[in-house]
Amino acid sequence: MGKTIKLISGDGEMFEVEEAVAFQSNIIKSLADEDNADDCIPLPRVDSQILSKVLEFCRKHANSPSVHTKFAAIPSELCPKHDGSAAGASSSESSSAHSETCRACYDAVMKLVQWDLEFVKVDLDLIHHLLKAANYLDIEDLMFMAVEGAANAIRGNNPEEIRKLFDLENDFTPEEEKEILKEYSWLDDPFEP
Amino acid sequence: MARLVCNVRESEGRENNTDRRRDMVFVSSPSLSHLSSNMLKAIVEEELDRHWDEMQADCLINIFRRLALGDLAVAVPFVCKSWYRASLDPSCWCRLNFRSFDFTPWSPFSCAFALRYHLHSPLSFSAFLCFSLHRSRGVVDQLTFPLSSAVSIHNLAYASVKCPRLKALALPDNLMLEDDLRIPELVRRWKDLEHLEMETKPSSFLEAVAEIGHNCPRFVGLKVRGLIGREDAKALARCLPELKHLELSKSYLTKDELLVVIGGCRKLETLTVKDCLRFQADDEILKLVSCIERFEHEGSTLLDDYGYEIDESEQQTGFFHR
Repeated sequence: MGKTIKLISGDGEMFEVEEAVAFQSNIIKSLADEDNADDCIPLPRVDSQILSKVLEFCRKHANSPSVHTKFAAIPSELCPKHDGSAAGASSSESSSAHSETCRACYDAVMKLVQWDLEFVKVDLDLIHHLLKAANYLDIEDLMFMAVEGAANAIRGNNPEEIRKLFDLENDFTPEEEKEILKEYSWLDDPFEP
Repeated sequence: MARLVCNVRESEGRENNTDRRRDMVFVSSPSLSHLSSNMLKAIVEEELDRHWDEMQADCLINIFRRLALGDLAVAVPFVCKSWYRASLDPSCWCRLNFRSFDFTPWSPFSCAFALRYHLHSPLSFSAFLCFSLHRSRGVVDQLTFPLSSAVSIHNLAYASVKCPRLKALALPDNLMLEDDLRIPELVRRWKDLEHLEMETKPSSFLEAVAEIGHNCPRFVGLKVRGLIGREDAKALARCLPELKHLELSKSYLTKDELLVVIGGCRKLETLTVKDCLRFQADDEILKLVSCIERFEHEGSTLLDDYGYEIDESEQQTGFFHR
């Protein structure tokens, strides 16, 4: 193992991981860079169950290029319920990334994306925690995949089903619903320029 | 233990009905009676912490941006008020892909939309386009029109007005000839255009390419399918020398035309000419494309499926079916 970083979860458990793994988090990276670092970083807002899931993700991504912020189109194309956008799929910003052009790298990236999609096929409680942790620790790829996991739970479902999955209440009053629908009555006679 | 649960709740100040129901579950559940007070407190705090309705608008918008338009229009706004408000954010509506929808009058989607919005007739493509562009408030950067359905030139014209900052466009494929001729004039309005996709090559192709060359300084990617003749190749080379991505798959394209394009578009990073007819990648071509990062030519052959070379009369029709 190379240089390691010690992390302390909110409930007091210690995790020792390689720098490359921990530094997926921009927050941990900047905390570790400070001069007074005794390489033991407390993370009071992340408990051990979530932190261990986060580190599992980081371990997998430790030696890969940041896939999701550069390949925004790819996860949607793989999702069976969603058509990837046809236009602009190979945008100029991704063309310069090596993995777009090198077949071996491209395949490795696709494999990683598949792993990520499986990783977020979990219940929404866990996704909620992962989202908060990814936000708190500033881990771009985890944020991207947690958002994808939440979006997946919405796709193809009607509002009642979505409410059940996300444990939400329908807080519309009938009057409020009527007001919203009134705004769209023009759809019956759409403007044809 | 029961008192501990109540104290924790009070200190959090939560009032809604869901929490009260949960309180009662905790207090009365026999399976929890063996837990220590600390563990119980941890469970309660976990419960308080997991509410999606507390999710900040930014995060919700992030999630909604990943959704297809159908989910965004018909399901998400009707879940609860915070979701409705977040769904109105224009950034959820900046990538409009209409290609996966069935807009025939009695399709499940048209009917579901009409039901949800209490319309008196099924939804038309025009209406849904207007709805989406209204929500986008001018920030659309990707627009993909549906194929093989009745998209009129009015829809295109409307989009050219409502999406001034469009970056990527995929045109519909069965415009009538007189509408097809208006494409160059519309393209002129999209000065930020970077990518254009044409499922079939329009009659106004030469004029369209010229307009892009004149008016779209950031243009980098083109996809078109059809008969790529000498004039077409010369137009690409002359008008789009900064082109980075070109896809001509499933086209009718000879080696001469390909060489004209490669010779003029010196900044190409990707060139995709798969399943084309009338050229095969020989050594000369492969040498010339060696500076292009990605060159894909699988399936392209000189001959048609029956092993005959296409004769001149077939060349004139411009049809190419695979």
